[in-house]
Amino acid sequence: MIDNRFLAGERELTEDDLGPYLQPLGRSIDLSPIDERIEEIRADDDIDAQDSLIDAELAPTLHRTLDLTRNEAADAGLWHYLCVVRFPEFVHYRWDHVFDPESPGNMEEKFLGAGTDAYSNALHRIWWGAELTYEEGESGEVEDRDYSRTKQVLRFQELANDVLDHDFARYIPVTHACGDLLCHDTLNEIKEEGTYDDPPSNSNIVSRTTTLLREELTVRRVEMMDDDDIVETIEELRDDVMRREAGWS
Amino acid sequence: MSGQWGFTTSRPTDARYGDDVAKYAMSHGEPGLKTFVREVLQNSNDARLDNDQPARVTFKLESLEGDEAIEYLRALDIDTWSEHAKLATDTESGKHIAEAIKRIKDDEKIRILTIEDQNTEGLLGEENADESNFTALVRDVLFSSKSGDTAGGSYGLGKAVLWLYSGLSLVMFNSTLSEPDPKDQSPRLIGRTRLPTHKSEDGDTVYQGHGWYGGLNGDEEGARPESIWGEEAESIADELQLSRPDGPGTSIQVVDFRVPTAEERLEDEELADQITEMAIEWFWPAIYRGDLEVAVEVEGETKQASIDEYPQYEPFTSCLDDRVDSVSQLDEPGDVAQAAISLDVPEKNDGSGGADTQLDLLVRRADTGEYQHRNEVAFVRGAGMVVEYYDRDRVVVGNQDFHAVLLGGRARPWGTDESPRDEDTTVEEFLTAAEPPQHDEWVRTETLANTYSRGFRTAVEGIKSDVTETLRGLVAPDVDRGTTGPQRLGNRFNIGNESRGGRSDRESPSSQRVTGSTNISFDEVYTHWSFNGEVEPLSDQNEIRAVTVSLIRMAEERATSDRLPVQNISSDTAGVSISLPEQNGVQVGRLEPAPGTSKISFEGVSTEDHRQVETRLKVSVDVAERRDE
Repeated sequence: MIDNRFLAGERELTEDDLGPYLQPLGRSIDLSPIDERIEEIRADDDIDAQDSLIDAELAPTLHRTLDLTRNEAADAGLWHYLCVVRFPEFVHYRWDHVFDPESPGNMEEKFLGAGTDAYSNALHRIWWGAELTYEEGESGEVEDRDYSRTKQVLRFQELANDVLDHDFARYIPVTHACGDLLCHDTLNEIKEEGTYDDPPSNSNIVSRTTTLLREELTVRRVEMMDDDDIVETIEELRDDVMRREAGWS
Repeated sequence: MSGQWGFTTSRPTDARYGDDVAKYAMSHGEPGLKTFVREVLQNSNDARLDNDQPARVTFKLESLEGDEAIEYLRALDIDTWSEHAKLATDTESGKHIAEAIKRIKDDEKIRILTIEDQNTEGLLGEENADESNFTALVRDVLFSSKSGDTAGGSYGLGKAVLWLYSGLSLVMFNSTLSEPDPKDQSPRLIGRTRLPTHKSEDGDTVYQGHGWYGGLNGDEEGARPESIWGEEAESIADELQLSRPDGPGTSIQVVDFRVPTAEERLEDEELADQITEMAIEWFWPAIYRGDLEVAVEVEGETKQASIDEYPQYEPFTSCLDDRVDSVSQLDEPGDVAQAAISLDVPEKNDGSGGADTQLDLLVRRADTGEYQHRNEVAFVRGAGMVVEYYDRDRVVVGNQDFHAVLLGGRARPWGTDESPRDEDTTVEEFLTAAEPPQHDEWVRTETLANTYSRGFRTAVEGIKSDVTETLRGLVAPDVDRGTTGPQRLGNRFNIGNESRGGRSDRESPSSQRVTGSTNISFDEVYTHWSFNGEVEPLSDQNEIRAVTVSLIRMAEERATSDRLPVQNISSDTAGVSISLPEQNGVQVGRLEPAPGTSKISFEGVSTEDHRQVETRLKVSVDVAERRDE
């Protein structure tokens, strides 16, 4: 049913069309805060269509509203429903540039990816991006959560992709360290200090550092490292990269 | 006369019973509704009469309120039962029964689930027979008397499960027997409750906890009530909403039905939907074969469990449908391929049985949109129940998505015109013995160890790895199937990677055309990697034109695009020219042998590597037809 006409935004699928395949989640969630937030984002002149800022700006609302357990969030069907039936316009607004009728897979996964793949599905990626990066507030209440790291990660497409597409970042201390040490703000600050002569672009730093980290983790078990060790390891790798000493191939 | 409760007495020194043993047998994993549906259907499926008709099972859910509930409870002789229950609820393990009684009082409502099966054997057997359907289902705990060694259930947990799902631990039976009883007329009605061991109010009598509802012969204290038969049974069954249609089979009524682990009580409708879906999920083979029909009735409305309504199981039934048109390569969605999974069943201890035979694996390439149970293999034997969905997601990186069915034992020839062979029956018995009480996997069990001679363990534990290996061959993303060399080579020796992605001038990937071995290890003294290897073409017609050796960095079990430079490489094969060219800016080793060279060996080292992260050897080989010298 998810054919090129649907992916091109020329056709809609309703709950009726998909009736036989829908199953109730077992509780009801009011999605209107998400609708409202999307409206605001679309109305914001500082945010262009297809910009990764969209993910960053939507994340807190989406994650607060869809207060799911990880178990529930692992159900791909939920995200298929949200993307295909409930928020297809949003998916198009964010991702239309990846649609290519010759190879529709890239667009298809924005609607249908999910499950253990936190990278592909348009909403699933935002939710997991938030889930892996937010900080619980003192009260433990949903409203009290701090999503500033989430925003840092999601607005930086390279960082978001590297974090969401790889298993290493499913371990919270690593995700948090990557978010803090590799976001634009931190990298720009280091660059301003002028410690490194000719540092690579931020995207290159992130891509290279996370690759090196993944290689590092073939011989070290991240769950056995304490948090300081994780931070230190990532800092060292990042600095090697910024010095351009990290085996550029 | 109506039925009444009687409780077996025991001496104070006898063993005491607390909670239900089944609870402990089941407590591994999650005894949700799945266990109940599986066990109940398995009971009926196993008791199916040997004719062309299916076993028909109907789950009837009812909530009784007001006068109806009062009438019902009166027919159930609830007063006598309550006296005992009250004594038993004082004990720690009787707590959940006290809670259930309170809930029924508060809600003024009682939910009953009646499971009515037809075209099954019924509760055959004398009241005190050593082994019969009757004693197995009603009297014993963890005994089994299933006909034959290959029934779906062979531990008798199926029955124990019934009481676990009754809040009052109380189950009623009404059965029409498939063979006439010598003395009595069907139907046969009896009830049983399992309370913890308790003492009478004066403390003089100890009741074992097991109680029966039936007819009492004489008034001996502690005697066990026996089945009520014929017209009397019919009239009581009527009051208990437990009447049966004509024809053999058994109705089982679980009084105050509940799912023991559920966080909240589900509505009838939702419960009905879940039962229906689980029936399909676990019994689609039997339903598809026409051996089993399942229906769910809520408030008088009956809904047949139909595979058509659960399209997520169609990929599995399609495996059977399309088996006759099976293909050797899964090129298109919907294509079905079949492969044999060999199984060497050892002899039994008594020297019988034993067969070097096979299970059949059917694999269907998934279509877009077929998400549920994707990349899972349904394990099925002749009983027609899915023993397990074996998850093989990402069996190889980037694999084609699939659904698969592993048919073992008497199920092996399903989808063809063949009938099961003797070896299939041998396998069926073996697999049955390999199922633990929950019948949810094939593993080394005590039964297996007690019945079979050496080799049973390798046999049963090899099934999954063989399935995985076979799947790899069928759903690998690349075209290089066929000869891939020994397993060790596959891991270390990424021959042919370079031919992926469009170099069309080659006839076929080199992985089909070379074999050999490689080795790489880290040298702590010189802080570099040492490697060596040997390759030769599979065919005498071919010769090696060039060998390129590179060192790749790994991450998360995959190769990255990072390379470690090759510092040096040499070969003791005569006439090989050696160079160290750059590939994407990184030095690799290249060997170009003299014309006519078949086997070529090499060794070398990497540049110094202080990172020492996982590094593998990649060997790409150019093979061509042998040139005439």
